[in-house]
Parts: sequence; C-alpha cells; structure tokens
Amino acid sequence: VLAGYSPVDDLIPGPSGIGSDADALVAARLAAGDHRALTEVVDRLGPAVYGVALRVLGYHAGAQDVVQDVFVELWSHPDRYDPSAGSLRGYLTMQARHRAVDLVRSEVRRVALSKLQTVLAPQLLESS
Amino acid sequence: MTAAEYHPALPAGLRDRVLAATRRARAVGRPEPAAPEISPAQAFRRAADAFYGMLGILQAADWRKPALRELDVQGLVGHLTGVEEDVHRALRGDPDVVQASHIGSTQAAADRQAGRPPAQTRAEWRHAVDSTLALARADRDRGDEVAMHGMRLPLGMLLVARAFELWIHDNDIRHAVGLPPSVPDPSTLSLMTQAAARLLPHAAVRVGLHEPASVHLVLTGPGGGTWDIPIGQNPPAAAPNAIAIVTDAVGFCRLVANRATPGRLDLHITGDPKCAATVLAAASTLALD
Repeated sequence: VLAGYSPVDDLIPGPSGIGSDADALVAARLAAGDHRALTEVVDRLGPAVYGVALRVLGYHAGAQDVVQDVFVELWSHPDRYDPSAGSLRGYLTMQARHRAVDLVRSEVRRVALSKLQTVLAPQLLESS
Repeated sequence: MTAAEYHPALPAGLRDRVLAATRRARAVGRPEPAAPEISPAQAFRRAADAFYGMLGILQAADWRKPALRELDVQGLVGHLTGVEEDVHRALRGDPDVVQASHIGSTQAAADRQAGRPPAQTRAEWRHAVDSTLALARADRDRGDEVAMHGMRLPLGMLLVARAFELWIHDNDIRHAVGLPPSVPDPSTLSLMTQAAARLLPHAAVRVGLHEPASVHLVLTGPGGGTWDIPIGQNPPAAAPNAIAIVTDAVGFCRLVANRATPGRLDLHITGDPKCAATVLAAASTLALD
C-alpha cells in the first residue's frame, strides 16, 4: 500500500539523457518547497557540479562560487529543470559548465581591458 | 583523470554555505511557482461558481441519479443548501447548531427537494450560498471563530472547508452522471492544502495517535507545499517518530475528503510505515460528508 521512498542518493541518472521518474519526483519536491530534497541533491550531485566547474576554471574559489550559483538557481527556479528533457545530473553539470565558461570569459575580458588601459593610458595622457 | 578528480569532494564548509544561500534565496516550504493568493471568501465563491456551472449542464434525468449515501443528485444539492442554512445560524450565534450533526441536521433540506423542478433546487442553493457570503462579509474578521457541526473554526478556515465540501460534492455528482472529475484552481487548492495540514494534528489525536511524532508533509503539484507538523500529545520539537510523506496535492485532498484511500495515491514514505499509515488514516477522518 505504501510505496518505498528512495532518497536521491540512491537514484541512478536516467539513460540517454532522459530524466528518470526519480528525477521527476525530486523536481516536484523542489517545486513544493521541500528543502530536504535540495539537501539530497547537493549531497549526491554537488561533487559532480564542483568537478565540472573546477575543470573549466582551474581554481577552487571560482568553482565554489559556481556550485553555489547552480544550486541557488535550482532552488529559486525549480521549474526551469524539465525532467522530460534530460537527467538532473546532466542539467546541473551543464549549468555549471555554462557559468564557469562565463566566468572565464569575463575574466579574459577584464584582463584584456586592463592591458589595453595600460597601453593606451600613457598615449591618452600625451595627447591631452 | 581519476574518479575522485572528476567528482572531487566538496571543500569543507561549501555544503553549509550552499544550503544557507538557498534558504536566503527562497523560503523553505513555499511552493515555486506559488499560486496567486486569494481570500477564503474568494475560494468559496470560486468553488460555488464552479458547482453552479456544473449543475447548469445537467440533463433532467441526471438529477434523479444516485449520488451519495441514499441521496440522489437533487437531494445532495439540498443537503448543501441545508449546510449553508446551518452556516447562517452559526454566523448568527445559534447555539443549537454547535453540536448538530452534519448529515442529520441537513436531512430535511435534502428531503424537501423531492418533486421540485431542478431549477428551483439550484436557485435555492445559490441563494443560500450568496447569503453565506453576505453574512461572512458583514462586520466580521477572518479570524472570528464559528462553531457548528461539532467544529469550532476561524471564519476563514470555515469558508475554505465550505469550498472543500463543494468541490468534493461537485465530483460526487460528476461521478454519478458520468462527467470527468474537476480540480480546483491552484489558489483555491493552496488554501485547501494549508487547511488540511493545519487540521492534521487534531485529526491524529482524534484517532488515538498520542505518541509524539513529526510529519514532514510534501504535497506536490499546483496548490502544494511543504509542512513540518508536530503531532501527538505535547509533541516535542524533535519527535522520536519522524516520518516524511510525499504525494500530490489533489490526491491528498481527496484522501482528506475520504474519497481516496492511501492505496490509490502515489505515495512516497520514509520513517515508520505504521505511524505513517495512522497519520494517513487520521487525515481521512477530516471529512464530514
């Protein structure tokens, strides 16, 4: 009568990118405001999210910021994850990759701008 | 690259930092997206409008079909008129209605529908509903307590209970005449699930669940939410029996209305199954019928 309930730790990601029934249940619990579901997701998938961010960024502080951003986004907008479109693991690691790449790009832009200012500043001073 | 490098353990403190940040971003227990908030009176009016609309599409022969207990559809609508009349008495402070039986007290209103044109039954019920809304509006606070049919509830909660009963009997009639079931809009359903969660401890004590327990109730889908409910007599903050029940909001409301059994719900339970079964049985005793 009463079905068993597996915490997300025991779940296996759905095959070929399709979210499993367990992912759908986790998504429904997150939408209902069940913070225990989020804690289970952080415990199970946090290391994978952190690993992706660390590989892209190469430094720990940035990777930790990415992990926080990814889970805050999942908790704030659980409806943006669609279990019929793929597994929760795939969704979260994709989010981590995108955010980490954005961080790299903004860092590259910041460094480039800084170099440009270093080169141009003396010339601008001369011309004024 | 080793598996450990691919999935490195989270650095110390990161887990707690992440969980704290999520709690700041969105309140625990609050559904997302949340249903637009409405008042209990609005929920009652919406349920009444839906019921009235459903009655409007019935064929003449449908009114004679068996609906609930020994009542046909017309008698069931009469029962609801009788309930509204008792609500009027309760709102006027009539002490005789405090312990009156929900079924016995309304039987005369059900019986007097026999032989009437259905349109008269429908109009009489609508008039009774409009009177309830007018009385509830007049100089009353949502928190004012109203006593009837063995219950004492704040006015707002009573109106939500009225919406709940209308929806359930709407579906009794739909079932009787072969119409598809209906589901309340998310805002109304949200008030219903909040009321059910709030009343659950009382129901648990009523069925004899005296051992302290903590129920983590997660109702999924539109109108759902999450509650941590202490039950039993003098429940401590951290009860020894901690159970979690996850099911969908509509199914849980049908259980509370005694229109579904736990076996027919998509239930996910952790903790003591016996305690969980008792809590679910308690939920179904909230129905008045």
